[in-house]
Amino acid sequence: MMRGGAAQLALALALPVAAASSPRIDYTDFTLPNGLRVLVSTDHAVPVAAVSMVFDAGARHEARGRSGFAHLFEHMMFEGSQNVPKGAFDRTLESYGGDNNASTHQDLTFYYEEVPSNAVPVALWLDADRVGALDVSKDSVKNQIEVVKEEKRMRVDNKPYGPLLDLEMSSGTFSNWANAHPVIGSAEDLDAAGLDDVRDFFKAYYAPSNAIMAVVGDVDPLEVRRWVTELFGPLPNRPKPPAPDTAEPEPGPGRRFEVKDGQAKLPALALSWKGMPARGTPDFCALVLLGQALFDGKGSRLYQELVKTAKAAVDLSGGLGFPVSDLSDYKTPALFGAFIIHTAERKPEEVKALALAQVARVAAQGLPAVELGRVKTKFRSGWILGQQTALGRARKLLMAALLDGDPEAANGLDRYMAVTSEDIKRVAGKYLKSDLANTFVLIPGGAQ
Amino acid sequence: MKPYQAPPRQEWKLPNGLKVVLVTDRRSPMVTAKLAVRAGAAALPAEAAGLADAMAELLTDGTARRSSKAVADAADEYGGRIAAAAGPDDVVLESYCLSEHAGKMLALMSEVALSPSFPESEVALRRKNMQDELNVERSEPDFLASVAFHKKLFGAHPYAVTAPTDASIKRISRARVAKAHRRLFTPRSALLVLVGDIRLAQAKVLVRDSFGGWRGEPGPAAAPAVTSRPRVRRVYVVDRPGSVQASLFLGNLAIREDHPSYFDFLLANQVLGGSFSSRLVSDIRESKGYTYRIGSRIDTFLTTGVFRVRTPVRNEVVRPALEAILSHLDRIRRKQVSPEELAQAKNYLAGSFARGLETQEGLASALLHVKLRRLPDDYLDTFVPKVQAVDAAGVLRAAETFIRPEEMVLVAVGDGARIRGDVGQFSSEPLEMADLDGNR
Repeated sequence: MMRGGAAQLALALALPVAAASSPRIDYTDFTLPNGLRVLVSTDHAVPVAAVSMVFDAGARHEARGRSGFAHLFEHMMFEGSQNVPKGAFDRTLESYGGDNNASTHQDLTFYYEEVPSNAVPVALWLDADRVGALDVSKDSVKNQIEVVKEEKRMRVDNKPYGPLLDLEMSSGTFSNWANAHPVIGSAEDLDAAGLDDVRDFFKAYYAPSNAIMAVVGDVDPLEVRRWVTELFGPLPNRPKPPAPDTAEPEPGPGRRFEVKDGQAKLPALALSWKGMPARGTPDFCALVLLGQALFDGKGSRLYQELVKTAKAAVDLSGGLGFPVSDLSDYKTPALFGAFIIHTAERKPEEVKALALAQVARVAAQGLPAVELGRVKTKFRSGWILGQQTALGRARKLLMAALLDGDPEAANGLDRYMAVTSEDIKRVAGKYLKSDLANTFVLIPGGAQ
Repeated sequence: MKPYQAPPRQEWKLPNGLKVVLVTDRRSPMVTAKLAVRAGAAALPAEAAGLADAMAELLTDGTARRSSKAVADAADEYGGRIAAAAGPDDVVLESYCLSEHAGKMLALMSEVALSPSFPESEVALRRKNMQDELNVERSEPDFLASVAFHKKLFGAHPYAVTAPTDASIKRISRARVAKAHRRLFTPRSALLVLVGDIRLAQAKVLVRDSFGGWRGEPGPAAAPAVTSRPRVRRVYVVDRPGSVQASLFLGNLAIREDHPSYFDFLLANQVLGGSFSSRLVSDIRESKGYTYRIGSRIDTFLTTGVFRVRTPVRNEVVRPALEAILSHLDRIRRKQVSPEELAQAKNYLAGSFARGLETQEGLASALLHVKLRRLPDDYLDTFVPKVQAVDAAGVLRAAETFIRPEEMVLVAVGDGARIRGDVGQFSSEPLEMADLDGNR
C-alpha cells in the first residue's frame, strides 16, 4: 500500500510481505521559499487522495482569557475566504465528491480533505484561498461561537464523565495554564472572542512557515509539486511565531480531587501522573507499550484484574497521554492517565489500590516474554491498520514531521519493537510511582 | 471522477450450507473476517431483551479448550481482535489479524462460534456487568432517545426492542444463553466474508478445515414484516433532570435498499441532512447556531427502513429548532431540489461510497451487508450509476411519499420541566412521558 511508483508496485505484489515489519510509507519532501513544507506520498491502488495540512498552533498557544480560541479558529477556517463565500468550501468540495474535516489538539490543528484523485487541484485551490486570505464576517464569528458552545454542551457539560475527562484531569495534573486549560475552552472566553482575535491569530499562526502539508494517494508527485508551487508559492513569507511557554514544575506528591457529576450513574476513579518523557525516546516507546499491556483489550492486566477477577470495574481505559493525547498527537509536557468506571459497592480507594498494585507488579517484574510479544504484535497490527487509508498515511506523515521533527518517524515501528521487558520495568518504576499519582474521585449524581 | 470498480470476488458454498465470499486484497498484510448468522435479537422473544447481546459477548468468553483470557491472548498474539455483536436481524462474529496468522484466527473463530462453553462464572459476570453498563448507557441522552424512539415507532414488532431492561437482564442464565446460541448459530443460514492478504486456494483449505465440520438445523425465520405504523404525530419526553441540552430524535417508517425508489429517497435524504453542506446543517447549525451536530439518515432493517433526524440543541431553542426542522421537511416534500443541489449530493454520495470501501473493514462490511440484506449481487457495482441516474422529479416523489412529518414519532430527552411546554406543541395529541426503557 505504501509504495513509491508503478515499477515498485509490480515488484511488491510478487513478493511476500516481510513478517516482522510493516509496509513503508514512502514520500517526497520539499519546502517552498515561503517556508511551506510539503510531503507527497503516492499509491495508485484506489482512485482517492487526501490533502491535509497541520498548523503548529493549538490550545497551548492560546492567550489567557482566550481559552478555546484555537478550536474556534479552526471553525472559522470554513467560514469564508477571498474567493470562497461562507458555505462554499463544503459545497464546492462535495460537488467534486470530496469530504473534509478538521481537529484541534493541544499543540496543533489538523485539516484534511478526502477527494476522488481528479479533484486534488480543487482541494488545493480551496486550501490556498483560505490560507492566503481568510475573510470572515462578524456574524460568522458569532454564529460559530454558538456552534462551539453547543459542541461543549454536547461533548462535555451534558456528557457523563465528560467534565472529569475533558476538564478536571488536565487542570488537576498540570500547574502551567498553557497545559492545564481544556482545548474546548470556557464559555466566557469564547463569548469574549471577536473578529480582531481571528485576524490576529491568523496572522500569527497561519503563516506558510508554520504549516506542513501532505498530499497522499493516487497522485503524481511532480504534478502535485507544480500545483502547490503555483497556488501556495505566492503566499507571503511570515516569521514562524515563538513556541509557547509550557514549562511544568517537577511532579510533586499526588493530590486528591473530588468531582461531582450530575449525569453519571456509576462512580468512577481516575489517576494521573505527569513528568512523562519526550516523544520518540526509548522511555516513551516503553510507556506506550506499558499502557497497552495495562489497559488495551480483554487480555490486558487491569481488565483482567479489575473487571474479571475482582469484579470491581465495568469499563476502563488509559495509557500514555490519556485522556488528552494519544500516540499520534503526543507532545510533552504530558500525562499518563487511567480512568475506571467501577461498581457502587466498591470504594474508590479499594479500586485505586487494585490498579496501583498492578502497576507496581510490572515495576517489580517487567512483562513475561510471551506477554510482551503479544503486546508488540498487537501494536504492530494497529500501526499497519493506521496506514490503510490515504488519510491515515497523511496524518502519520504530518504528525511525524511536526512533532518528531522528521517525517521518517512515520516509519519508525522498529523503535517500539526494540522495547524489552527491562525497559517496561524501568519506566513503570520511574514514571508511575504510587505516591506521585493524582487521584480523581467521581461522585455520581445521576442515580435514578 | 474515475468510476468505482468493486474488486473481484470469489464465492463458494460448503456442503453444510455456509456461504463464503472472498476478496483477495494484498495491499496490507492483514486479513479481515466476518462470520454472520441470519437471525438476531428479533428471532428471540421480547422478554429476552439483551439475551442475543449477552450471547454474542459470551462467545469469546470461553470454549471447551480456552478460557476468556486465553481467547483474548490468542487474538493479541495474532495481531488482531475477535468480538461478536448481535443486531436485530443477525449476529456477526468479526476478526482481523496479521495475514501470517489467518489460519489460526479462522480456527479460533470456528472454536468460539461452534463450541462456546458459556462458563457459569462468565455468564454471572456478564449479567452483573450488563446491568452496570445499562446504567452507564442510561446516563447518555442519545441512548435514551434511541430506546424510546424505537419503542414508540415499532410498537409490538420485535424491532421495538433495542436495549435490555433491568428485568430482562435478571432472566439471563447459562441455559438461556446456550439455547439462544443453538437456535441462532447454524451453518445453513451462515455467511463468511474474508477480505485481505489471502489467496483463494489457501482460503478454501482454511475455511474447510475450520468450518467444514459445522452441523446444524435450519435457522429461525426472518423478522416479520412491519404491518402497522403510527398514524398521527406524537411527542414523547424522557426526563433527564439538569440536562443543559435536549436531544431530539424524530422520524417515521420508510423503505429498504431493495425498494425501486430507494436511490431517489437516498438523494432526498442527502440534500436534506446527509452532509456538512446539507440544508439542515447549513441552516440550523451554520446560520442559526442552534446545534453542533444535526443530520438525517435512513436506517435499514431486514424488513423495513426508518427515516430519522436527530440533533442535540440547548434548552432555550428547542421550539425554534423543531420549527426549522419541520419546515425543511415540508420544503423537501413540496419543492424540487435545485440541479446544483442534486448534482452535488450525487457526487458526494459517489465519493463517500468509494472511500467507505478503502479499508478491508469497510469492504468486508459492505460485502456482508449486501448478502445479509439479500440485495442483488451487483449492488456495489451498480451503486454509483444508480445514484447518478436519479432526477429531481424522483427525489420529490420519494420525499413526498416517504418523509411523513404528520405521523412522526418525536422523542425529546432533557430536563422535562424546562422543555415539555416547548415540545408539546408539536402534536395535536397530549404529550406523553416515557421512562428509561421507553415505556410510559
